[in-house]
Amino acid sequence: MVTCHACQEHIPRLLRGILSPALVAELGSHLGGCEACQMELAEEQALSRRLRDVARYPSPAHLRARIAQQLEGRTWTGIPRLVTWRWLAASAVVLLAVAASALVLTRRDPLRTFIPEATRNHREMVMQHELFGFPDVGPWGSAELPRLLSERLGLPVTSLFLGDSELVLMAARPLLVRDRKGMVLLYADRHGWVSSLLLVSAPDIEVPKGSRLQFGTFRPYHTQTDSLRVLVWKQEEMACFLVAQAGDQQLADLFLKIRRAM
Amino acid sequence: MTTPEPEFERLVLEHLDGLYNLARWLTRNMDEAQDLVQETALKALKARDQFRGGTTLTAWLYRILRNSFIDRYWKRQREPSGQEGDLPGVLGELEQALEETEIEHLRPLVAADINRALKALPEQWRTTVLLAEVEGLTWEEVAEVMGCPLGTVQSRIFRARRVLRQLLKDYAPEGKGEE
Repeated sequence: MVTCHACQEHIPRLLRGILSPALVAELGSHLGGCEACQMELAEEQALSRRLRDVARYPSPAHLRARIAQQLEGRTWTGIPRLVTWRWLAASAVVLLAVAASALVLTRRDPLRTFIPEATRNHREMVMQHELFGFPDVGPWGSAELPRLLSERLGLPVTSLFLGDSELVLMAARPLLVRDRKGMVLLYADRHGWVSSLLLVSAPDIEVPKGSRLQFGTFRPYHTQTDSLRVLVWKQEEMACFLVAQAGDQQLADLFLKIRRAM
Repeated sequence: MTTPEPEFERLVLEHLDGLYNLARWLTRNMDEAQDLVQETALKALKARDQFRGGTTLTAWLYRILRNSFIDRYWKRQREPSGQEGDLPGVLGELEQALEETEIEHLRPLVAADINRALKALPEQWRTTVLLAEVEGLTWEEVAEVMGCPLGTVQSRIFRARRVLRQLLKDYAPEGKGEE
């Protein structure tokens, strides 16, 4: 029997998706009949959403160049004393080129921005699903999803994995991720394990070349946060984030099923 | 086995944005933040042989950055013209929750601004929340960065969230923040 005190203490962990399914079920049962704890959960969810608005300070473009230079063993000494205007002009061109490339490199890194968003959305969707369930994937039904994604959200989607006997599409929710339009799809297998697929417009983002896994002919980027595994790949100007709590084989099966349908 | 130097440099540079973000929150100063990140990168490279499994590179780098910041803070304290600055967390009174009267006092200053609310928290709580909620570190990684037990991280997150909610409560416009 979960008390209100215990329930409210668990809510931050619940929001983070790091509780066992058994405890989530217990909390769900308590929350279903306790208005005070429901209010606590709603307030904590609202705070989590507001924490997404916390300012992020992007690193200045020249900082990367400055540090890279130091790491290579060259000490930054500023402008030499015996400087000529020609030398200065040439140096300015080089520095601008370095700064521009550093800026591009900075913007290429999706890890610090989109992956936490993908896992956070995953946790929220899973929690919502476990606590309240989902009626369906929208008034148009799942078959209309690719067209909606393409026409309404401008995402380059012509087809999607819409479920089979093993894996069911449970829900679809449009959302804004860092001011970009996107959609998160929630899938559940017959054992109740839930995974999510976040699709978001990201023309300026490149997936890092390292940390790739080979699944069939595909090589998605792979990372892990808490117990969640995240696969990232690009399709035209759309970035795809598959989030799941799965072992190697489960993850491979899940990815191939979803990726091959797209 | 030690990671080859060029590969290690690349990995450190991959963390630059996150390190700079935390440095800005800690120092509240652009130039000082840049110096702190640079110092962190150089220290990491120099000590890369000490990086072992059992922690992630992310946690290790954040830990170096925060320790460097604390060193700078104490150094400044020892200087004759040193000012208090804003690091109440390092001074040790942090493990107490903010008093109700303090929250009442801070509320009008914070209004509905989550950034101001976060700045009003003691440093150890603020950094814990930033690492866990904004940078996306696991609670285990946060414990590694902060050099404290996992239970302390959990407790700080729980209490910091409580205080943030109280600070923001009366000023949140209807529906604000709801998507």
